[in-house]
Amino acid sequence: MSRVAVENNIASRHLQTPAKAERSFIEVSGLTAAYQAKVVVRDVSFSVAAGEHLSLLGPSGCGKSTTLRCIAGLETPVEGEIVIDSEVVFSSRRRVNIPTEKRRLSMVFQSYAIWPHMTVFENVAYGLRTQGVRDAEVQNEVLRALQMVGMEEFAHRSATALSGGQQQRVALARSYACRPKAILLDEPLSNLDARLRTRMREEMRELQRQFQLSTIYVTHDQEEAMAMSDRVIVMRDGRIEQEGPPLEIYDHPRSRFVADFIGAANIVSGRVRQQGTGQPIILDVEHAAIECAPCADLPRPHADGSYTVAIRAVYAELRRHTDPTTPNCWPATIERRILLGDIVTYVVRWPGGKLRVHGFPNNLFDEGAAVHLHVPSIRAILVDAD
Amino acid sequence: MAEAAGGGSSSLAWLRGIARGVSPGVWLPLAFLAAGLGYPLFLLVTNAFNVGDPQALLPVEYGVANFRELFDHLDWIGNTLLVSISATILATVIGIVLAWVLHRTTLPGQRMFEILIAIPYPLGPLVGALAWSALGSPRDGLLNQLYMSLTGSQEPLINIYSVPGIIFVMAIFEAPVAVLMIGAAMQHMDSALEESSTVFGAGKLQTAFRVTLPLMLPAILSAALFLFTSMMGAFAIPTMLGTNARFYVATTAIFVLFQSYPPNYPLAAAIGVVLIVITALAVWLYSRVLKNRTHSIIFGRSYRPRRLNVRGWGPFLLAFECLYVLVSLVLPLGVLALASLQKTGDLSWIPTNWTLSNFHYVLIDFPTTREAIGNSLLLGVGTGTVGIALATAIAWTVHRSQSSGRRLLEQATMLPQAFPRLIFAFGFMWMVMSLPIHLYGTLYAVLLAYIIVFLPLAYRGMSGVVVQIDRSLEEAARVSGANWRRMMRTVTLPLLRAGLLANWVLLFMISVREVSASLFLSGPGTQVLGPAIFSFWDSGGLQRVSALAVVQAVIILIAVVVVRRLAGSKAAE
Repeated sequence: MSRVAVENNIASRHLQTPAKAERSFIEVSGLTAAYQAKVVVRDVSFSVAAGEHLSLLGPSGCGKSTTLRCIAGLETPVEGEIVIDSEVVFSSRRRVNIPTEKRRLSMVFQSYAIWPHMTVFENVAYGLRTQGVRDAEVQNEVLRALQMVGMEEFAHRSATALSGGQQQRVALARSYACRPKAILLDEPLSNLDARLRTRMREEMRELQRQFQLSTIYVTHDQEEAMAMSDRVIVMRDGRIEQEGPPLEIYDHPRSRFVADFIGAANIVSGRVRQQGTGQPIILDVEHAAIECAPCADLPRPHADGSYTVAIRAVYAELRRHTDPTTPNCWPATIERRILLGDIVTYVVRWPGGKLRVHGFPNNLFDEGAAVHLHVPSIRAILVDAD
Repeated sequence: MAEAAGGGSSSLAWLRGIARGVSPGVWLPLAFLAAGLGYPLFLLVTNAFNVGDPQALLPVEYGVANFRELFDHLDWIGNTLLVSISATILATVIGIVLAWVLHRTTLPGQRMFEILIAIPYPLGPLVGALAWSALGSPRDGLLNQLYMSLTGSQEPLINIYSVPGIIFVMAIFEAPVAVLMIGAAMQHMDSALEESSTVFGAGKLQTAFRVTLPLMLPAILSAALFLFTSMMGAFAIPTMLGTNARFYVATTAIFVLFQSYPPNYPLAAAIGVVLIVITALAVWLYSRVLKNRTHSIIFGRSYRPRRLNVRGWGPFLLAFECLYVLVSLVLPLGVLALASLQKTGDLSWIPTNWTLSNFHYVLIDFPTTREAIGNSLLLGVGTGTVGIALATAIAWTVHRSQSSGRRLLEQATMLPQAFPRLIFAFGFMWMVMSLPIHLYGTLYAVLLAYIIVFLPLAYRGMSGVVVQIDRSLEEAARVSGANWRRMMRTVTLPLLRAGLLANWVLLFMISVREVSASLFLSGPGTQVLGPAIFSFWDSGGLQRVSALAVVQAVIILIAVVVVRRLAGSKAAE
């Protein structure tokens, strides 16, 4: 990438409708990190385009936070290369390790890390002052950043006098104010209550749209990752399990782990009936035969030779009447009805065993009712077994 | 206190309302402290203004003549301030560096150093002064002898009988407290606060000065305040190292006035009052500086602090740790052990000249020292038991009850810490003498004084233990059908046990080594170790006083091992 191209690229970020660059702005390759003898990130490679919002999603201990901290320079990887804005900030091969403070990034910590001995203003001004920005300009930039998060009246409050949500806003203002190359967020919403979390999620998405800064967002909350990201990387045991746009990961999980971790899915295993090429794949599950979504290659089977299929609870349908010629349609009974408010979960007995199905409160089925269960064949996804 | 005085209403209904809310758990300890701390201080202050008969317990004539006389001896106060301030600064700096190395760097052997660095404090200033006078005396000091015989020089290397010498010994024997207090704050700081500083472009040095140090300031200042108060009341080191050079500080002057014939109690009391005023000023200054820094509350949660790889600095920092352990532990204990084996006051390196007769003498032959050892052990056990029981009860009331006046009780409990111990003991002696019951000259008087001066320490330790026990654990026992006694036996006490024992041993140690609080209260029949070592130093010869100091050090070291065991088993749970 030439220097000119990079500058154009940065300039384009400040336009109203920037063209999303195809080039990667942050490039992580072959990253391996360890604490003492314990390897927590294994050979992880991915890239983030300019202005893209990427989420690293996974359960605790999957290495997502460590990956982020390596990018920030807070941990030193064992191996790999990290390039930010075409500058190599870490490379084990070339023995490059640019210290954190010279990487020009910004970060929002899980604990917010608002300095309690400074005012809100001083907190937000910190990054600008370390860059040697003139006072008058600092004043303007800080107030603008605080306005952006609706905290301008708090500028001269002590940082300790703030609630959790307010601290979160100050941390966001602080990371936008210092004009970073990219923003890193380490589970920033996990200390807020559910209602506030939903609101901050939307506000952060809005800020992200305005500023078009490359963002890496670490979370264990699939809802956050779904709602905010352009692309999601699901991590497990220090490795990348699946990578793609949120809907693709939701609709086409590649493994049982991803199907389980994101959304509510039924995991059903059975034998694949041998079929000729071009024919749909049929899975025999107890007394039912499921026609599955077509796939180029069969996924990895379970040790006993059975295959696993994931059926999302929202994609299975319950019907009172049905057309007997529809494929993947079975008579079923409602065993349990669990009212959750916005949705209703039914536990349904069908020839293949039991299945959880989501419905809506506007069309309730009673417990014990005889119904028809329909699973569209493109919604029965064959996945890698564990 | 502000709560009680602040109301200002004289309405009886109001008083009755307050009284109903105040439980015996609050007013009993408050009454004890008011009598045991308030009355001695009252006597001290009134005597400072006594211009009548200097021997009278309660003055008959008041005036400011004593303070006017003190103007002729301003050097006593000046010397006290010079020594206390310098030693406080030195000890705090040592504390910051050692705490940082122990808790925030990847240097090896930190667990071992943590133990070694803590020991000089319970060993105490008396052992320190004695050891360093044997090491650094310009004529016979071991270090000077070695230096002169190695270099052939006629001039000694160091003179410990000097102001820098006093400051140095005071600082190294008080520094462990600073390490402990500052170290606790360092362990509880969220390292994301420092990490975010580097992410936002600040280098290591900038982060240290703009984030770490300001955040540590409350802990550093409170350690410094504690050291300053304690050094204002320091007695053993300035006496043993300063009297030769006719260098008097307030405490040594008080002791001289007390011992002179006829004793000049009023002038001594006036010095005490001035010292208390200075300490109060320091406390006021401290709270002024920390006025807008209430952020210590954010240190509630425990974080695993990020340790820094110091690379090239490692050897220097390791050398600093080793040097500290050398001058505060290895050399002092070594020279005392060596001196205790000698037949005469001269130090001989040849093992055939050595003897154990000094130990025989202090442990068995000489009744005064034999009695002192026994009494000190008794006092250690007594102070530990009664002090911890009282502190636990107070901690329980403060943290668990809904009774009004809890905050007042907490403040009153911490109050003895604000008075130099020797000054308090001086006033306490008066109270004991003025009481109609026969208390003066008994061990009970010493015990009572110890309990009062060490109550803040015991309370601090026990409230740390009490707040760690989640109330719901007890509630679960009650819900499961246990009555109060069963709950205490099966849940509360087992959970408290390790903390109780550790704090008990701590109190035992500092009681055994105490000299300031018992100096005026011990005497024939009530000999205790600290004052006995002190008077023995005056008369007994180096080999015998060293043997006595070694006995004390061995008691302390055994207690240290016991504490470590307890702490270890607690960590294992």
